[in-house]
Amino acid sequence: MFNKIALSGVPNGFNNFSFGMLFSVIFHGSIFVATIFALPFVVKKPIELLPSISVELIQISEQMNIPYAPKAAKIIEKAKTENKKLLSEQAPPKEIKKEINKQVKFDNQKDEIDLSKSKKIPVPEKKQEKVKLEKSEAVPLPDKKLEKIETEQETEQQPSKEKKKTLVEKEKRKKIEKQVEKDLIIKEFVKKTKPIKDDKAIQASEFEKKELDVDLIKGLIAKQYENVGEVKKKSDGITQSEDKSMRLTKLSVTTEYSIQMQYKDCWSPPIGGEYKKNDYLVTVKLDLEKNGRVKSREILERNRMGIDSKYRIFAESVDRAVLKCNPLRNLPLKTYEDWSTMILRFNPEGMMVGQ
Amino acid sequence: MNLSKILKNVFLVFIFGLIVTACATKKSVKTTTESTTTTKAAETQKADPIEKLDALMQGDVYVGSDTVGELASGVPDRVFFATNETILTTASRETLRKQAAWLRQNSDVTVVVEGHADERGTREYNLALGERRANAAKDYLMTYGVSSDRIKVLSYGKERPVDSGSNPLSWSKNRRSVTVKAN
Amino acid sequence: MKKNLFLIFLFYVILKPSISFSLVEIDITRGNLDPMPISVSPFFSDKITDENIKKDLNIENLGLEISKIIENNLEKTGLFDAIEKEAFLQKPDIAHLKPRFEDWALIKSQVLITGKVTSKIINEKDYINIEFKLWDVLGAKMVDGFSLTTTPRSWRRVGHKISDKVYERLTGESGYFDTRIIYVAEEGPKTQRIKKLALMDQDGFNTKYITLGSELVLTPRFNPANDKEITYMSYFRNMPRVYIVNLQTGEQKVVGDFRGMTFAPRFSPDGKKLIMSLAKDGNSEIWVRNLETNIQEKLTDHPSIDTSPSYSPDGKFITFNSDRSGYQQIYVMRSDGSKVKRISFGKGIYGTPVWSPRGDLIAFTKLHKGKFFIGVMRTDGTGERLLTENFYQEAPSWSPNGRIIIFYRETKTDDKGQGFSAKLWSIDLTGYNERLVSTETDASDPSWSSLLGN
Repeated sequence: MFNKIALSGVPNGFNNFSFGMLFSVIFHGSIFVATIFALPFVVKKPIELLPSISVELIQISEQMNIPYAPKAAKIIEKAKTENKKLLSEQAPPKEIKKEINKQVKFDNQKDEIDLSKSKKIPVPEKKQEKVKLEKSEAVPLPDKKLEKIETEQETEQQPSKEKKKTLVEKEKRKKIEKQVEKDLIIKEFVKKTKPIKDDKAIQASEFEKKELDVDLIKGLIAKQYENVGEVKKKSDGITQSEDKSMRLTKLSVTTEYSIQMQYKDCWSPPIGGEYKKNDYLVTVKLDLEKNGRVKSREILERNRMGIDSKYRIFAESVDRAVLKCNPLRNLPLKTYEDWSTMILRFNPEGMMVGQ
Repeated sequence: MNLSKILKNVFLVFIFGLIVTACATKKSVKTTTESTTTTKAAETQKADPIEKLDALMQGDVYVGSDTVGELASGVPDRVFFATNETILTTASRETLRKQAAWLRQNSDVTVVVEGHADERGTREYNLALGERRANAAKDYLMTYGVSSDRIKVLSYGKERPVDSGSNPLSWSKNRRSVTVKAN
Repeated sequence: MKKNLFLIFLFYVILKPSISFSLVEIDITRGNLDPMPISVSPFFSDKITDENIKKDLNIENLGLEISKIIENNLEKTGLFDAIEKEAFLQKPDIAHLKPRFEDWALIKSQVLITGKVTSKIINEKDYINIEFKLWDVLGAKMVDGFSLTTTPRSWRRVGHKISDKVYERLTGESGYFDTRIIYVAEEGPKTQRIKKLALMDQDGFNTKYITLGSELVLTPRFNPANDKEITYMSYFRNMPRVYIVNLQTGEQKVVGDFRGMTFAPRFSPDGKKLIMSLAKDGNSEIWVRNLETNIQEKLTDHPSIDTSPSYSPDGKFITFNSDRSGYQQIYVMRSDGSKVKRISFGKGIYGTPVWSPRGDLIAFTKLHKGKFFIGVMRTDGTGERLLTENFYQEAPSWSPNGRIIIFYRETKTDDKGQGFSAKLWSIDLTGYNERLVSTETDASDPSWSSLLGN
């Protein structure tokens, strides 16, 4: 049948249709094939890496300017030794061995997970989960603790005296712990920071990001933060901002979320005043250097600041937050042009304490 | 055969009866000991006659004799009220009639009727409540022939409890209207 | 080569879909409720000033004491966290002239308060001048400040005024630190309590007793217009009546010449009128008396108990307590007594309504299932929120900025009738930061003054 059509050359009614179909299939097929082959062609690395892999790792040190906390480093070491077999099969580890230790660990982690993904073996994935969980505890993100404190505070309607006392004490303790941990991280950072040849290692991660599988990220993020115990769905800026980010920004979901979490830590709005919903919005235009440092900042609602003293005080709290979160961490160097200038919209609607 | 059966049954019934009555006795013994211990605990450390709890309060109104003084021999000086109430009970009216009778016989005596409330209410409202209770007593005395210029009314709200306990019995003793000689 | 180019072209076409060139926009909707870390540097003073102050006040380090007042005030709000002085890197005198902001940022301070005390002699009298500055550490600039000259004795008030300025500048709300609290100081057994009128600074200092305790005194309230007058109820000569006492002259006078018991007095916001309850022949009504014209007028007319009246801050409405529906509930009426409307409808008994100086809320006491609550509701009765619960507590009174409520609590006595105590407590409007207010003796019936004038 096929041969007959090919040889005849004279299209009948029905044959016409089949011929067109065939033609279209061939072209689509070739484009498809070209796509597949084009990818590896452009990539400098010979490995085909799947996107979802380092969601957790990105959060911690996408750009290598936050070192692993000592505990996390140990865990990653463990993971590395557990997968020596995998090591030998891969090319990149050999390449990168010349560079600093932590980068090696980074890649190993990736490899382990990569294999687990492709083979769909539940066990290695569990390991990944485990490592992920352990890590997230070992590198205590201040946000997690804050979340806990906040949900405690917010779910109580008629707090009794004792409860409040212990709450205040708990908060104080947590605050102190947080401070200590922060200090530790900063100390580590000060110690370990050396001029890293960022480009190589980061290119890898950058490339991955372009191929990010959104659904997978959503799932992983949701999993991680289940453990953290976020109660409020509203506050899960993930879904909302995620949509927005897909439309407006080229920042990855995790980067945007990381920025929001950083400001959550830095920004203490003067709550308790009479703030009507949606009435207090402060827009900041931020110019950043490559390392996340604030080059310049500008609050766009200057006029209102001059007229409305309550608003001005509110805006000042935003200004302090911007100065406190300086430099901004976890910004992907590769896409610096995307975020060298950013607009931040501060709005306390997620935090109105009842009056 | 029959006889032995009958005897057996009678015997069993007899034993059963003993057991039941024994239990009954136990129960009643328990109740009296319970009530005496609660009564003891509830009252102050005075050597009071042991009364059963239900004899001290009727509903919410104190009917006991602790804290009750005498306006004159055989004339109790006070009446008690239910929570938030200013209505005179039957017992209260009887007491007030005795007071009125004595006052009619001693026409040169003037009195102050002091109204009080328990601590389970806001301060200002209790001042008003005490005033109302005192006036309820005064009005009743007046209907039994005591002229109003012999009776002054004074409310202390919850300021002068007679029993400092924080329990229903103590509170019931504090909800009172006391007739005090003024001269 | 051509093949490569073709593939590159395909890759570009396929893999670079819609690229938008808009700026990155991020919504930040969550911050934290952490208290702001502040550092209050001890105020600097020179040797001559130190000597003069030692002479006048017998205080060693006035600058340090003033900084303690400010720290204490701000920390008590729960909104600020004062950094320990041991951590300070810069000396007070230099810090006041030109702070090295990096030093202060290093200890994580966001805001710095510095000051200077100088003694002055004006017309041969001793004065002190206190200057303070508020610095934004992160922004590296001075944000506010002022300088006050006053008699040495008023040094605590200057500390409070500085606290008010800082509070206002950083939160946008007016402060409440330069204020006083009038209350009833209590002593003795529950059955025979001795009560005196007591006055103190809001931070518990400078307690003064206004009456001696020989007669029962209750429910004192400040005149909001001049905070030099107090109205209260006294059992002087066994006649329970409303009085007004002038704190400066000590002069006391009875208000009106009512037949019957007057109680539950309050000033109108302009201080020209007094509302109160009059109980006569078993009925309590609300009366208002004009203190200038002495004209008095009955506002309620109902066989029920009507008491605990409180004006709205604009003077147009009065909220009060009445049991006309069978139990104590909260009502609102116009200040001429018309248009009485009930506003409390929840389960339980409601009493002691007090209108917030902000005008939007009414605080109250509620009794339900044997427990006492302090709560707030909107002036139409909606939005009822209970702030705290206790075995016994009542009589809320608002701070002048409508942010804090002060009230009192009594404890349960044991089987022997022992263990009774009464104390003042305060709580934030949000329901947080419940605190014991320290008083020299047991205390009840607190009332907060307005911000003190000069």
